[in-house]
Amino acid sequence: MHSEANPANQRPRILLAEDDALTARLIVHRLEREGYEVFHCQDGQSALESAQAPDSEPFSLAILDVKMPRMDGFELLGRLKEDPRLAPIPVVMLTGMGTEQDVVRALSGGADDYILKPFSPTELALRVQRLLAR
Amino acid sequence: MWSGGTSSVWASEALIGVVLWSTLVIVGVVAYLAASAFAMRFRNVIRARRYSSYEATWEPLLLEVMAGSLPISDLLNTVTPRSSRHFLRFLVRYARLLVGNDNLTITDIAAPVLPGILGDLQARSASRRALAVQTLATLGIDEHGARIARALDDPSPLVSMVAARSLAGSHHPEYIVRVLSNLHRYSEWNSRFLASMLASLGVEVAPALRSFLLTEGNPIDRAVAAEALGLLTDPVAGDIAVKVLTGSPNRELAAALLRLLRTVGGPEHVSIVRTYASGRDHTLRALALSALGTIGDASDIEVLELGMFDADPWVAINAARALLEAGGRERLHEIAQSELPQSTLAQEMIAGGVT
Repeated sequence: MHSEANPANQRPRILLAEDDALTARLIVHRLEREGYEVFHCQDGQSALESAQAPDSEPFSLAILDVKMPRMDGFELLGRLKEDPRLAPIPVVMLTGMGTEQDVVRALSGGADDYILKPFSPTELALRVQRLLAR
Repeated sequence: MWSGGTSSVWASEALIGVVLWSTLVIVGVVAYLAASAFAMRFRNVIRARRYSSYEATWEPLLLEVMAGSLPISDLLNTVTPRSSRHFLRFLVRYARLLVGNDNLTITDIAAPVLPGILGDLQARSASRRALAVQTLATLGIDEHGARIARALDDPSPLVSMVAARSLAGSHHPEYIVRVLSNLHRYSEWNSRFLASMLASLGVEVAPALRSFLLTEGNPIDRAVAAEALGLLTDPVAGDIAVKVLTGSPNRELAAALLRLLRTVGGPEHVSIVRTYASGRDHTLRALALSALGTIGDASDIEVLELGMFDADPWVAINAARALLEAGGRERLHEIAQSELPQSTLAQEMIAGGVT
């Protein structure tokens, strides 16, 4: 798990659930440069626990990888959307290339956007910015 | 007596000597092997630490370069001739994750380092040559595409295959002809995998695949091309398939062409398919009936119904499925409710139990 200090407590908090360390570092680095605070979890279960923790600050957005250990991205998406407190959080799904079914499943499950892997951190940052500006 | 005793003592001493020497040799060999294993392990640990140290230096710089806040030269200045191979492997991991401008940044970083591994394309070790091809393809396909294409003719099928896959994955359709001419070398790979590899080059390669189908080349390779055209859903391939099927091709090729016609064929291609539907080869018969289910017309319902009573169960299943696809559900119902031996098959087909 990775958490960045947030002294000003004003930066939007983003929950990142991604088991691939390299992908996660690319995303964390780019989003932190854009001014976000990124909370990284390596599996779906710990991401859900972090989101549901009663004493944690609310997340502004969640980025979920589809394939993860313990709990995959779809299940995590479902669990977030069935929790009234977490359901409004915009969700971006990270799915593998050539898996249109995953995209359909993600969008119909309540995801707000999706990014295909391999991906562009620049594009991801722009999509995050757009979703948070809504 | 004394001489007998002396020789007995001598024999015992000789035996002890042999045992001692043997033990010494065994202990020596074991010690050598243990020392070698330890040295290798030690070397690997040192190497891993060195690589980790390199990467710990490179990664923050790379991320800053990608973010546009550091010039490429700042990162390249940390790469030494000794670390350059590992640097390229490090970049490959990022290149595989990234697309667009972020990927272009990685290839720009790699460009001045890549010439350092060109000599590996002539290395004695096939795995080293394959690694060089893969690295060049991932980090410099535009600059080194011609070199990778030359690797298609490498004496090692592995290196050739790596080159073919790299070219296919790079969306450079101009190399299709060279890949096709090397297909015979990839006989160890699954034909569906090969077809998928060819199709990944995109629809631009369809004309080359069609031309290849019309050659007198290896029928197995041409069957792979037919499968690739099917994956591309090439609308023009139907005419070519009919032309080749008319020439009585070998079984594998005919099977691939019938599968192709099932995907891309139309009413104008049905005549040759009907010929195969009544042929002697049960595999081709099954595939032809299957194709009739999608491209046939009402006149084929009877043929499909008859196919359900074929002695070969695989043909019967294909015929039943085709009958359903061709709009013969009513006839299937009649068979399902009859006392005919195929009533169970018809019932299962209607229920969707046979796939």
